[in-house]
Amino acid sequence: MTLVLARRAIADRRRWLIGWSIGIAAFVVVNIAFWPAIEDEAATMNEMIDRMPESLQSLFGMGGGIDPFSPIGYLSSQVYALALPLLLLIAALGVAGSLAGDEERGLLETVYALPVTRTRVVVERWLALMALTAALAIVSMVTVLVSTRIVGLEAGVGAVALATLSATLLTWAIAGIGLAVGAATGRRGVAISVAAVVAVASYVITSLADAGIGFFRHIEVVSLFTLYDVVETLAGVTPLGSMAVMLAVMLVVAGVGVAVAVWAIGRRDLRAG
Amino acid sequence: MDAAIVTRTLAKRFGASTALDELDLVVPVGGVFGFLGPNGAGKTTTIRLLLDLIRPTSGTVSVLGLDPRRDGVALRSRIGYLPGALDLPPRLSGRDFLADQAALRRRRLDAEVKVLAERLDADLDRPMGELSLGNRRKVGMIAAFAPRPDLLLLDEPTGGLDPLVQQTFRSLAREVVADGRTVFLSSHVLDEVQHVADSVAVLREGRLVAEGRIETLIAQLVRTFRVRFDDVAAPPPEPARLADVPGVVAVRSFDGEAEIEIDVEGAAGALLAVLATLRPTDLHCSEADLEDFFLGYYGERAPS
Repeated sequence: MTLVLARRAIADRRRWLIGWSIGIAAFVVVNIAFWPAIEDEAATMNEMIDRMPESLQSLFGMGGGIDPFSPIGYLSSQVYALALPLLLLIAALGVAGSLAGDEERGLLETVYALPVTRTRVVVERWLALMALTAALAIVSMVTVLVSTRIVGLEAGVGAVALATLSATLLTWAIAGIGLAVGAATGRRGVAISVAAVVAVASYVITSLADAGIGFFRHIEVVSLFTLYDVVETLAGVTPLGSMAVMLAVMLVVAGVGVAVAVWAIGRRDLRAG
Repeated sequence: MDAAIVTRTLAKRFGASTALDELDLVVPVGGVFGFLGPNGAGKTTTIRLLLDLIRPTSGTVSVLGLDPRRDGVALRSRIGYLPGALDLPPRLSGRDFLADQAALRRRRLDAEVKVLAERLDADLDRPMGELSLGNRRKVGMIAAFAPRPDLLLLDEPTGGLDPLVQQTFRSLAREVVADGRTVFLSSHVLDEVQHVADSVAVLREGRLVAEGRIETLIAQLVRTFRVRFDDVAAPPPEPARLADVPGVVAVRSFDGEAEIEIDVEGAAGALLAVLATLRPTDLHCSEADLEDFFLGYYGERAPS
């Protein structure tokens, strides 16, 4: 397979890729640049945070026994807990939604009429999505590693790589849901909205469960963010086994999303542009 | 004779609306087959069913002896398709688009593309979003013709094309036929089909209403001639004088006007012979369009 469609989907986004790379790198640099100033006040601020109720702490991506103004706590709350996966997800959902979006605009009529299976179209678009988000994730990782070293924020290469991998797989899992909805409905708006709702609901459920609210502790198993325990990943306290399980589950969710997408688009009429 | 397309009681419903209703169609191999009908008659729906872009509600389809659903990839490798609503990636150049199309067919078509681009005078270097509708359609036409497919499905192919390109299009279609291949050409204007098709089928509201040789269809058409008599020495004739001329179905004159209208079914030779003796100053013939045909066919001609 020559991956004509995947390569085209990537080539179409050259400027998109440059723009997102600059955006993500700038975001990381700006946040980490404040570390030296924060570090000086860390002791006072940690004391202040410790006096806050635990529920509030967890909502802001803190907790888990890690001081928010420790190097790892800062990196987690400022970059990995929410902002980075959010940025990767927005980028990925744009790509996931384009399968349905291009169909709505009639741009795939000349592709589906070729000796090409619908499965191939879906799979190649998915491969493009994985490649593009992986590229952005690598940009974020390199920027984190370089800028933390410049400001003297201690973060291990392995820990940062694992956190980046978790954020990427979380993005793929949610994007897989978006791809499936887009393939099933042929509607870009529906695809992106459903995936965004899943992402926000997951985040809220996990945060409230972490805050110790009973109801959410019962249902937090349905939330993808529950698998994304990035503070502990960065601190290196997550056992390798459970880390592997978390990553595997996210990959399975993404894989099921792609499988559902293939199945659903094979069963329906394609939309005329 | 082998059939390129066979449909049996083919029906397609979208929710409550019926786009296609029990269509029985046989398109022979070789030749240009005109698929006529007003907008919304179900022409595009039929073509999209042949390509397995959409699935029938009931009935069967066979294209080049294959089932579009089961043998879709094998079938589509033998089909060239020009969509009616041709949407092309706006930032891509025609050249890149055509290269992708060839690659997805696992073919090398550079030579064919080059020849067609020259014949159609197509601009393959600019982003397609910057091209006029006519120039985008040229790219679409190249994509359909370049692989030399056994069957060409062309949905309203010459809309937006200038007459010179329409001429080229007709020669291309004839070359396909000379190869023993088949062109399936849908249109809502008879004129687009008239000069190139051998046989035609006429679709209306999802049903086949006429089928046969193009000459037979044209013989049933009603056209309106408007004839002026500006010369005071040669005033418009009394309608009764023309009513008996073979082919004339109606004659209308207007008080004090120098112009009369004559509806003619089929050949107009007899009428022209009579008119010549009446020294008219000008003559205009409306293009026989399909609406006229349907009105004539159903005897629903509205009073004018």
